[in-house]
Amino acid sequence: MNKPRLLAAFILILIASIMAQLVYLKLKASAQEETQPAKEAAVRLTGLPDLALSTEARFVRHRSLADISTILSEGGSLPEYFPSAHLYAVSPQAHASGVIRHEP
Amino acid sequence: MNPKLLTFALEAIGRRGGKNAAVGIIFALLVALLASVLLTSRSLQSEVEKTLSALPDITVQKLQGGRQGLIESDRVYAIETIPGVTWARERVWGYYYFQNAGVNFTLVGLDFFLPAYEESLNAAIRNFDIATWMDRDFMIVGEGVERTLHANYYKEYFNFILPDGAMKKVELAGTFAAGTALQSSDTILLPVTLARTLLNAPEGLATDITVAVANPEEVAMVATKISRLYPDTRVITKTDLAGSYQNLFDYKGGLFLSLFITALASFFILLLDKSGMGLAERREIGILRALGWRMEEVIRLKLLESGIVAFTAYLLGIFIALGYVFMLQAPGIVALFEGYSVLKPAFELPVVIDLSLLGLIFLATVPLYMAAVIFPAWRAATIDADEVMR
Amino acid sequence: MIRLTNVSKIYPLSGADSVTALENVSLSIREGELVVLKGISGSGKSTLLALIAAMTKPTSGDVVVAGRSVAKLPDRFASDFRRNTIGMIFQKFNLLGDLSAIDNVTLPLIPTHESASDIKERAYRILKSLGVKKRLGSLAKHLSGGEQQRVAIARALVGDPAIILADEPTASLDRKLTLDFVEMLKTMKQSGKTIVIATHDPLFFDLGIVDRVIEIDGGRLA
Repeated sequence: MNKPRLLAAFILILIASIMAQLVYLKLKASAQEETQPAKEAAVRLTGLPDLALSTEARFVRHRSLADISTILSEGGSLPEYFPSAHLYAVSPQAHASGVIRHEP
Repeated sequence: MNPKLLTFALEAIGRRGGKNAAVGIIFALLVALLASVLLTSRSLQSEVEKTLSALPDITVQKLQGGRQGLIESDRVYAIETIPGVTWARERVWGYYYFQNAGVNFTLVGLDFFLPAYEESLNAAIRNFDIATWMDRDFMIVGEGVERTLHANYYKEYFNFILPDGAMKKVELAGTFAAGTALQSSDTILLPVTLARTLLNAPEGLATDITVAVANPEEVAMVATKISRLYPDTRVITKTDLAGSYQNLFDYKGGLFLSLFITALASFFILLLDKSGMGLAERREIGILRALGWRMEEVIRLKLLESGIVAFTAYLLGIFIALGYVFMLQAPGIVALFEGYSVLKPAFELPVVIDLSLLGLIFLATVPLYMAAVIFPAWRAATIDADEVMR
Repeated sequence: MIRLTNVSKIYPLSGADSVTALENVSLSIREGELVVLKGISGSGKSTLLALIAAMTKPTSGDVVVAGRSVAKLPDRFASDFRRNTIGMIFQKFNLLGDLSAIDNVTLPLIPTHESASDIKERAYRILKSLGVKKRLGSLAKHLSGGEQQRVAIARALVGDPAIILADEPTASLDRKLTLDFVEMLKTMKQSGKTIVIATHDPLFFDLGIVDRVIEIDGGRLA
């Protein structure tokens, strides 16, 4: 069979699959949208930021409320120790400088 | 576009089908890897952003010797007098380490009877009726906490260990709705007085103070006023919180990116060096040149060839990534974000398909691939056409 | 039709070394002439053909073909010139083995604006006139030596060039196929094409249709 036609067919099938995938994901996204009020309510109750993804240490749980001293209390080298730290950074206001601090 | 050239390019891809398939699959997997990580982090970031509006505008922490300490509750009244402040509330929260499971819980004290919370309680909590729990020690737990307690044979209550070593029995009154796992998995909501006992926060002191400001434009001004009023405090605004998620890929996130770039670079070096331009392919270019093909025509042919392969591989990579992240829930990549967490939330990644992100991935990979093919082709085409006669 | 004036070609090697392929060659070929370039391998025959076909540029001197000085043509004009004026038959045919016979013939015309069916039709007609009627769709690498030769000739003729250049066209052919080639040469000459053949096959030196034999030795005309 001729290869160019095979390749063209493959590309068309691929595009069609991606379309189907996008439609499916769109439906899934709107289904997920229904949990949005509950999520907001949960955050309103605690008033705490950050996702419950990394719970291995106190400074990574609510890291946007942590400061650099909290981190250092775990040991000076620990921030690099957790694999999650490599993808999910400590918040900028944890560091000593930056516009986001309102300190004397 | 010359249809004959397009047909010829398609045929040329077919003629070197094995090589093109192998290179295309490796390239697709690289695209899939990059896209998976970016889509996962984008999805998690969106989860934070979506609930940002529910957060207090300002959080005030007190620093003692450079570390966070308990803040005086009566500062609330002074803060409330600042113009623009709607309300200020003291908050008692902290962490509780459950040794049997090796898990940190987040304990949050809540004034359950404050009317402002009624709507939120109804929306976020399942099977909970405040009326039946008056004057009792109760708690509302997140999905992960419930799971951990069940695994440790606590079905209806939990024995907390107080700071003085004594036990405190607290009944399980309700659970957070399942869809909120990412926000509440490790959270325990308690009445404020009970939270004070468990966290050893005496009356008159609080963990921090949250502030609501009516006009978003005034938040920064109010924050400055608070830090002038109390020089020993650290004031965090909602903008700061939002900002802390923008730098998902900062110097540490760059580690992944640099590893990835290394992988990508070695792939392209391999492409340039070995399989990119075989002897047969160079001979083919020489023959075309000798038969009267212009240099630009040869380049256009190679652009088409490499463009078709790269675009197909890109589509395949995106297809794999979308399926892997949003259908299979990105096993492995989510683990990277979870790190060493013992208590992993049971959640579904929110579907966020950011077209500009997909465009970025396209620009970061496809032109590189094409350049890696075009460059040797261009070099082969510039040598004199009489090469093929020797 | 073809005029070379004091042409030299020096190929640089690594370092300061170089090889002189042609030295101060002047010659002139008229339209419709069939000329044989005689010489051992390495004497400069192929280089001479490459210069006429604008595949390479002379180190010094001038090459004028069909009224144009091809020595100074920029690439895109040189390419167009090759496609429109020159038909080239290579020593080892230089077919693309993974392409079918007919696709090899249409190869020079793919970037042009003629429609795919037109050039297929033309290639088919030429192959048929050369006696190739079957196996047009077989891959070139599966064809016999004689069939490959005819496909190579058809490819040289498909653009209807005024000049045919052949580099050792019979080197890999047996006696019978060589004689076939001579027959085809006759037809080409009758249609008024200017033909230059570089060869060391003695058969061509005293052939009736050959107008002139030019001998090259060590890069000079003998």
